[in-house]
Amino acid sequence: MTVTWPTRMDHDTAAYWQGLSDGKLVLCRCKQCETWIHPPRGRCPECWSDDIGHQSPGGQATLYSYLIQPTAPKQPPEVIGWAELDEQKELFIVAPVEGMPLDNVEIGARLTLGFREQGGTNLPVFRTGDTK
Amino acid sequence: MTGGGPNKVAIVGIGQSTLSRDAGRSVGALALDAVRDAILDSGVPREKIDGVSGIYSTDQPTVWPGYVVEGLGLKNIVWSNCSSPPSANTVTEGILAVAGGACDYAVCYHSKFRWDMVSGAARKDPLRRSPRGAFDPAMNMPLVESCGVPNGMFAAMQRHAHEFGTTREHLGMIVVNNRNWALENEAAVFNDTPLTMEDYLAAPQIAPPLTALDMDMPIDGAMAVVITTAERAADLPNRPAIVEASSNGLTGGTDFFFHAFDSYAAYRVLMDRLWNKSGLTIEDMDLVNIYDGFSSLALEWIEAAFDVRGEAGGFLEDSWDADAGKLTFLGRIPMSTHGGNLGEGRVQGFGHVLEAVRQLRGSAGKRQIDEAKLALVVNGNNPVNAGMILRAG
Repeated sequence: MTVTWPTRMDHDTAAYWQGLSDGKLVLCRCKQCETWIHPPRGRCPECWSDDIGHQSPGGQATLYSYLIQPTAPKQPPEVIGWAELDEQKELFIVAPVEGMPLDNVEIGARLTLGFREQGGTNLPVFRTGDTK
Repeated sequence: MTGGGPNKVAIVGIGQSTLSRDAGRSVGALALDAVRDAILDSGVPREKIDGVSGIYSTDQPTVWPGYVVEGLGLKNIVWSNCSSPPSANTVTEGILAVAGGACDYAVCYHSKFRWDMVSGAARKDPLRRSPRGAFDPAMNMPLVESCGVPNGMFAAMQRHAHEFGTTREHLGMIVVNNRNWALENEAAVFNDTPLTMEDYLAAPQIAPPLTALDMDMPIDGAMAVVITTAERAADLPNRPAIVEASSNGLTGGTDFFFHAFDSYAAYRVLMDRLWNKSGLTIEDMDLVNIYDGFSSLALEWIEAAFDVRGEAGGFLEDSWDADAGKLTFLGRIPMSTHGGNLGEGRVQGFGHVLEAVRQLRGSAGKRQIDEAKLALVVNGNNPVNAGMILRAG
């Protein structure tokens, strides 16, 4: 499969995609009230400031929910996790979870952010366990 | 006590096309079938129709109001609208237009088609190629595309099961109820296909814990209603369905992928508005037509409608008649007597509106409920939803 990520990018999401190409997860964070914002937005939903900065979270998360499905056509199914980052309640990254058996997915499991190369860029994945 | 404007409003005409896996007609022709039938049913002369309302769809193309106006030669349109989904929003917008006096007789429609993105079989049919690409109003699809575009509604169901102990049997009660009612609806796509709880539990889970039976059946089909003021309705042939209240419900987290877990909060906003606006309660309802695009969406709508958050499982068990394979809430309130999307077919919840009107008119045939005076209709999910309370006029 040949995919060049991203398929679409705008003013709000450019920093996210640039971060991934540099091997980092970069999220929006309000400089005024420090709320983390994902998916990326041009204005803070809490304090309405447009003073939006970008930061990398620590990479530790908890599995909040999941699906089991292939990530690409003709590939075996994987666990797709809603990883709730430690930084903020309901701050989710949706990404494949590696190292968790499909028949024993554990909501509440601790996860650590990683990356895998796909279609010409790095994409976030999570691996089971705390590494810090 | 109205939908929001100075005039009390009523649904006075209903119409629908055939509902089938292959109508042999275009999505546009189906829309014209439904709109024509609704206008004829209403008894309103064609030249008096002065409002047209459609919606764009969440995932697939449909036809805009201009197509219908041209296709049926409607020459006196002073208000038209193409609103956000879900399908009942075409009706709630028409309610507001008539209530506010923007037009006198609005026809509101929705047309669905088994486009090529629905299945491999549809892709092989050259008459089913859709005219445009993916629909992504939340602008987030690229952020999850590497996951094969995960459906947040399924993850929400997993979370619900984790938090509240909801089981496949609970979802099965919703599915089997709707499929059993569809056996009594000759227009339903599953009119002749019985489904037992045993069949349901044996079905393969294609998106655990959901099976194909938990997902509404894609069809070719369209539906429409005609709306006018209650005052004008008195001069028309049908018993009107009076709109006691209509509402949407949106709250903070509305993204399909990243905020998939906030549906109940949105439904709560909508339901509270309906009760407050109408002065009615769930105990006043004689039937509830609950949106079932997925069975798991119906689960949380039931929690909001009956105020049983986190207790849907036990509530369904208490309402379940295993012999009949049907649900009866609070000892007397049936759910979705037409079969819902799961049984009648996927016009994205518009059938729930038409069935409420039929029941309130007393024209639901062998499905007719005794003394049906008040109906609750809820439609869609988070972030696109609508609800209404209808009263027999």
